[in-house]
Amino acid sequence: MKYKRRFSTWTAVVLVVVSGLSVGGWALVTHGVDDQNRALLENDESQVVLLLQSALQNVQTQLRTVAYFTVSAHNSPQVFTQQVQALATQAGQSVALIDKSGPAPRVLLSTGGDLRQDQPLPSAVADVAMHAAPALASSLLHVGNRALLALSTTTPVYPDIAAVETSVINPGRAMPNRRGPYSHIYINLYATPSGRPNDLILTTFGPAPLPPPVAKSVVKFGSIRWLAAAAQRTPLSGTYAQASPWIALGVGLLIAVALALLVETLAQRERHAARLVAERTTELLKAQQTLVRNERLAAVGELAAIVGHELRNPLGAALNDLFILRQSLGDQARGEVDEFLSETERQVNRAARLSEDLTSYMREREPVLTDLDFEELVSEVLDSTPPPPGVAVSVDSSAELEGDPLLMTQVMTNVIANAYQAMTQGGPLRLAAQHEDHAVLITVEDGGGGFGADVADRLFDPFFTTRDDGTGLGLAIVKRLVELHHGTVAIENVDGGGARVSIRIPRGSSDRG
Amino acid sequence: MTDQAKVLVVDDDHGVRLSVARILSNCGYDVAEAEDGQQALDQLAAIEVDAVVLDLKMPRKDGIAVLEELLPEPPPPGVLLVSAYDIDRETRSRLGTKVHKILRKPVPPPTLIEAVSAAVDVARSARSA
Repeated sequence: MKYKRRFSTWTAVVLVVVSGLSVGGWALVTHGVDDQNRALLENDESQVVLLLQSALQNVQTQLRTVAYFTVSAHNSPQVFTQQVQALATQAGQSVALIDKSGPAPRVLLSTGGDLRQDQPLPSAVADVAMHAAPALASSLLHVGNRALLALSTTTPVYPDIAAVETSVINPGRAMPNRRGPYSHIYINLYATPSGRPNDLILTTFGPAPLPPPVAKSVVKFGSIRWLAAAAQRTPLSGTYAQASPWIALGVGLLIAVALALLVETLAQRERHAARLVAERTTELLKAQQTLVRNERLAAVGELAAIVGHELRNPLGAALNDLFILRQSLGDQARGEVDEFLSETERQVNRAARLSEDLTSYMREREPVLTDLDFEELVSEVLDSTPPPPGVAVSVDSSAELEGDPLLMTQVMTNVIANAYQAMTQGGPLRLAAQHEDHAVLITVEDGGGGFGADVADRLFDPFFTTRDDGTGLGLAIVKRLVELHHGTVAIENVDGGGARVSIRIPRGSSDRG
Repeated sequence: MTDQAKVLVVDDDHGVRLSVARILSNCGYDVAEAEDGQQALDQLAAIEVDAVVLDLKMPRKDGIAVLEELLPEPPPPGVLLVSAYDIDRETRSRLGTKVHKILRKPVPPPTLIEAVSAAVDVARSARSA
């Protein structure tokens, strides 16, 4: 069976819908994870800001402490050194107390390499010192090829003394923070709230822009307005949370494929079932039609046989009575009386033939098979049923068939009589028989007008006739008798008009040498 | 004919029996009638007949039963078995020579007359032998 495999619409719909839901789920979970990461980052960043503010508070307190105690001790270098030790703990840091009461800043005491008593202050540092105020201030300075971060303050007690701390910074290089509480984020710190690259104070990432998402907020202390920016080094919500959208997508797509396969399987089963139902229904309808037809034919046949039998006695009696009547009338049977008598005899004889046909139709005996010479069989039939004028019969055969002599004689008589009746204009009637494997094929081809396509199915039905004077039993009897021989019979129109009856009688049903 | 031949017509159908009897009596036969097989056997026991026109299918004894009870002595009449039905080969061979001829209903009167005449001849020649 030719079977075209095609996916059902439902399969495509399920695949698309469930895949779409999976992608939607992926987007939703991704969004959620991103939100969570951002919240965690903002939280960390705000802690960093708090820490920075706390550190700046420390620096301010210590710078003021250095200034207060040192000035109170009349600028004692010992006191200065003691106080600064708590402050300057890293290389590159310098601390100085600067008197800004004069027109130019004067370094009172200093430590570290960048703010020295014996050298003039770099102009940028001098500027910072001159503008120092109680509120802690910061400046990003470039001295020579070095970058310095300067922090300055004054004490309320000695407002003319500026305490300045400078630290060498290297903003182009990432500070390592592989360990510690904030090692999972990158931090950039800018000296201005705008966060321009030039204002970078320190970075744990490097000179390139931070990878998004970036959390930013301004660090406020004194007059300091720094910008702290943070980005995640690793997903803050953890690797599982990070993988969850992809897991959701993968599982969703697997479900989509599985559902699509399920739907496709069900759809194919349904198609298969529907096809089977259609086939079976057609078969059942055909079988039922055949059954109904056979039952009808059987009922008709039975009725025909009963009627045929029952008519025999009255018809016989009528024939006898007519005979007696004619005898009694003797010479008186003349003119009209003779005509009516003859017509009555003709009609009764016709009824007798019909009765004979009806009986033949239901003749219920097994055929007694003998070898029959087709030519002999046909010549007997032609003797008893001679062709009407104008019909030229030709016989082409030397075949021997296996059949019941009486029944096959009746078969050939009926077929030949049927052909005669079709050949109202005369013409050739060709009879032939030839051996086919395990059968003999008899063909009777008349030169009549053939038959209409609309009656083809009914030509072998009992009582079906296209002629006014036909009983409609001739071919029905042929079919029955041929079937008693386990043979088949068919009728078809031939090219150039006329009909051909083909009778196939099997051979070899009995073994005779 | 020298002395009148006697024919028994056996048929349960009144119309057939009457018309056959009339045709045969018109032909000069002495005709007796029977309505069924048993009557036929009774008549055959009582009178000597030359031919019997015997219907096959009848109530009480049918034609076959009558033939089976017919004794070979004295030489039996010529029997014409008349039937509306086919008689199978087996029955035919069992009846053998008890039947002179089998005729199919309806029998055309000329055929009947000819057959009865032949049956009478056969029976008479058997008796004189």
